Amino acid sequence: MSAEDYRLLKRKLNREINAREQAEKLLEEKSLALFESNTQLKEVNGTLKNLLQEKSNTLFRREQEYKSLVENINDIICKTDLEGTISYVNPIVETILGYAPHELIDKTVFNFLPNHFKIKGSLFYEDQITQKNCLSYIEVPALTKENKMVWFGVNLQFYTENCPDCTKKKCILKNNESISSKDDCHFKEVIIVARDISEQKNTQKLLARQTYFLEQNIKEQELTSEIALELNTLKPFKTRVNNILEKVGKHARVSRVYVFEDEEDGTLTNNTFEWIKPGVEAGKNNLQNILYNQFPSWNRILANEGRIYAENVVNLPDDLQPILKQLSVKSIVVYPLTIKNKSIGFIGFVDTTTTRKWTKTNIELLRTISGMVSAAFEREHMESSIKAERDRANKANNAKSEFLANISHEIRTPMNAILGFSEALSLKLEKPKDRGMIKSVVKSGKLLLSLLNDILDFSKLEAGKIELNNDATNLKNTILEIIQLFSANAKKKNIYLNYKIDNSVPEAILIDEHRVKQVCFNLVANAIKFTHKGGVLVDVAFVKKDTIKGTVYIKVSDTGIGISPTQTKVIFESFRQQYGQANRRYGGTGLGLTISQKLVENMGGSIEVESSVDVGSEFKVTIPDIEITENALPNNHEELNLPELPVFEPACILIVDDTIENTRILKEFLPSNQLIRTAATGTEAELKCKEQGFDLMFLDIKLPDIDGHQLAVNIRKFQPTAKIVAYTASEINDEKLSNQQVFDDFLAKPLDRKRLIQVLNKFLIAEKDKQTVSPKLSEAVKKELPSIIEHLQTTFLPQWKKINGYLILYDIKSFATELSDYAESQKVYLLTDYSKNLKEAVELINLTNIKEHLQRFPEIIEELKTYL
Amino acid sequence: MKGTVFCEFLNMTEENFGYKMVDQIINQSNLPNDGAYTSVGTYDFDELVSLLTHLSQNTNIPPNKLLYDFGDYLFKIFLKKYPEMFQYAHDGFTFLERVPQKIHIEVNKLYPDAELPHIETSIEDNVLTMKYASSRKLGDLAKGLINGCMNHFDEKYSIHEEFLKQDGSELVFTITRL
Repeated sequence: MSAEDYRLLKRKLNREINAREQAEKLLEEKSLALFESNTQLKEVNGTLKNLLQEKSNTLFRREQEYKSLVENINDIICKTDLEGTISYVNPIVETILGYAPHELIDKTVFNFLPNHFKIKGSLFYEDQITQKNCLSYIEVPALTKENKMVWFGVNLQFYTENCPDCTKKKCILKNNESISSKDDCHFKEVIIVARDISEQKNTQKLLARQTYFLEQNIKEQELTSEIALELNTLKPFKTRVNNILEKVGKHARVSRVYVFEDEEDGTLTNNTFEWIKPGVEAGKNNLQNILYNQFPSWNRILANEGRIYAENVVNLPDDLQPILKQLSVKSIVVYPLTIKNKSIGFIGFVDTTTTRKWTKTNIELLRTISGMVSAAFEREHMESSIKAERDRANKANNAKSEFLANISHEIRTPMNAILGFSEALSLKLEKPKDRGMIKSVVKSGKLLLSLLNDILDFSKLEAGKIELNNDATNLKNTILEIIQLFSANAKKKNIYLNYKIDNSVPEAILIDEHRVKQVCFNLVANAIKFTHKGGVLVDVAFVKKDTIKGTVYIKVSDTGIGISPTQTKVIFESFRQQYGQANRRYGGTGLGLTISQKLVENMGGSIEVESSVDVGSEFKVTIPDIEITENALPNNHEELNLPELPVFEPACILIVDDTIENTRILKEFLPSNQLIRTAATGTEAELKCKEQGFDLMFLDIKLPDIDGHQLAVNIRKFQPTAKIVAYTASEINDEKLSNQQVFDDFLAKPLDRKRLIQVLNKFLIAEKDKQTVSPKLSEAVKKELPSIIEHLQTTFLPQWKKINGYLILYDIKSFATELSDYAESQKVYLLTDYSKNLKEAVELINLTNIKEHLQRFPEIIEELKTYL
Repeated sequence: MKGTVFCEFLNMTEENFGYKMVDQIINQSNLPNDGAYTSVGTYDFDELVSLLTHLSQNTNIPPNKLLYDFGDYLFKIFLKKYPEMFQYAHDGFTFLERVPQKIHIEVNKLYPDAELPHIETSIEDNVLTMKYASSRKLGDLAKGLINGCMNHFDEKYSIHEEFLKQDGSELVFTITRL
């Protein structure tokens, strides 16, 4: 080997040694690490051992605890075989049943059940096994050593240990678990856990009893309240009593309930009401006019003891026996019926099947109900006497109303003369003083008449004699009329009178205009009467229900003295005025509101009032179901305001009336160019009709020899074309006057001139205006015309523009006056006529005419221009 | 890097070129432990690179050829040392396919600190695709191992490699059975 080779080998060996040393070192490190982890493992092992020891200690302790639990528990725990033979029982059994545990070993559990439970208990056991089902719980009684009964709540558990047929060490069949699900296990033992539930059982019994009583109590209360309700129904008295007897009878389970009512003198009594249980013989018919003296002790006991009570009727006095036997009564309770402490009979509850011990609550109930029935009788007696009283009062009131109606009629006849002549006289008198006096007469007469009308209306309303005359009516115009009528009054009192008519108010509705006006008149009159500052507002609206019908609302509100809440209740009563409303200050009959209310009620509506003292009042009239209709006939406003009698072509007129004054007044008012004949009797009238033909006749209805209707029928036979008008002091509507077949029209007394003109207009032919139309403008005027038109356009037209559409009467009047003066000075007659008409309309407050004329003003100017 | 690799590399060098060459490259590489390697130790990878570079310079054989031969050699060593790893493999593909799931997992159990390359395989008919990824860039060593494996099962094959990364840290072998 060369030195080189040697060195190389040496280096190789060195390297190998080095590598080995390295490897050794590394391995040592590794083994150290291994050793360390081994030590750790050992420690873990030790801990596990400790844990195991602890666990088994705990188990032991727990076993001890269980044992002591079982020994000391208040429940009996007992182990038996499948036949019920006891192999273990815990010591508590001695405290509960009195047997020491060792006394019970090898005994059968069923031995300790009361006889009637023995079979049930063993069956239960068997069932558990055969049906292979574990019932959760049963309750059974058991007998103690002293033969006392103790109730147990029992749980059964099937159990086996080291069962040879299944792999588990221990099998327990839990509640409701079917044995079949554990078919593998051969259950050999049963564990019984029995808890003493005697106390619970007792409480349950007590509770059940209390519940029963409570229910009974509630039933009784229900019964009494049902009876109280029944008593207050509107059914006839007899039905109510019969229903009550039925209810009580069924509730108390008696055979018969009856009511006896005594005759006035108390010697006789009658069975008036009876309820019998199905199958029980009725006795009512045989129990009429029973003499009390046949069994005197009955009333004596009732009076002394307040009742008759017999669990067994043989204990009652001998004199009662025959009648009780006749009705086969076995047991009975009777209470007297009294009115104001005076006996009027009795109510009895009877058992015919058996003697019975009535419970205290039952007796109490019957007593209460007897009291209620007694009260019902008392009320019935009172009600019937009140009814009789009321009938008497109504009769008297009717007589009074009739008397008033007659008296009123009688007064109207002379009033006709007074008013008619006064008015006729006022046209003839020239001295202002005389006219003033006669005006006062007319005014007073009219006031008297309106009072009379009120009384008449009222008495008719009272007697239910008002008939409504529904006609197509423009409600707006009706209200406007009322406003016009009162505007002067309001102005005089320095208060406002405003109105608001809603657009919803139709052009025409079917309503009795006269009556609506009357109601509004009363309300507005009252409002103005009692308002001293502020004013009155009339608000009218109509709410459509459908296309045909709707409700009328009229509201009259004021800022007057108001009405106190207590007074609002009485203001609608007849002849009542608000308390403290001194008649001297306010006047009136006190009938206005009563009449208004009755009228509105007659129309199917109502009036409501809201008011507070010193703030004001608000009367709301509501009339539902008013039909909307075609446009109303042109209202007779204009005619109402016609001051002068129109000229008619001559006609023959006959007036038939037995009162000379009436005839004369009519004659006075008729145009002088007419041929007028008069007659005082029907015979005379017929005679005159045979002599000559008449165009128009006025017939009184109450003629001395013939009824006006009959006369009219007679006259028509030979004067078929004659127009016949009834002329009467009676109210038109309740006679058959509106029957157009007999009369063409009617005229009321006292005579109203405007109404007369209406009638004449209807039947007489107006004479043609004979005046030829004069040329409207003279040649002289024509020359001035441009400047006149100029003046009209610059001065009057702007003024007109201001007032047109506002209806401020004062402004319109001054406009008309100025225009008239100017027209007069310029001699433009076209303008004079126009301004005169306008002025007249303003003076008459004829709103329709004012509007019409006023609107025409620009046309007048245009007309003037045509002459240029 | 595990000491086994160093030991085997030096064993191969000694086998092929004699211990003189081993001594020479150890001296040239100026190693901290003077070439005393033990299979249970762990050494720096740079040392292997240095040894390989000097071997290549001394023998005039390119390093990738040397690595390829080392792979082939290493496979035979594995076969000898760990026969249980080849227990269930009956051909080259089944063995190669098992490399990532079975063999590398077993290696990791023994040497938790071993830094193994990331290998993914898939087989379709006669073609096995193997993706190789490692910062060590020892694709040629892998190729040599594959060769050793295929030869062991006596299977003819062709291999094609494709660089996914130019530096050789990621590449795919496509091995086709002939």
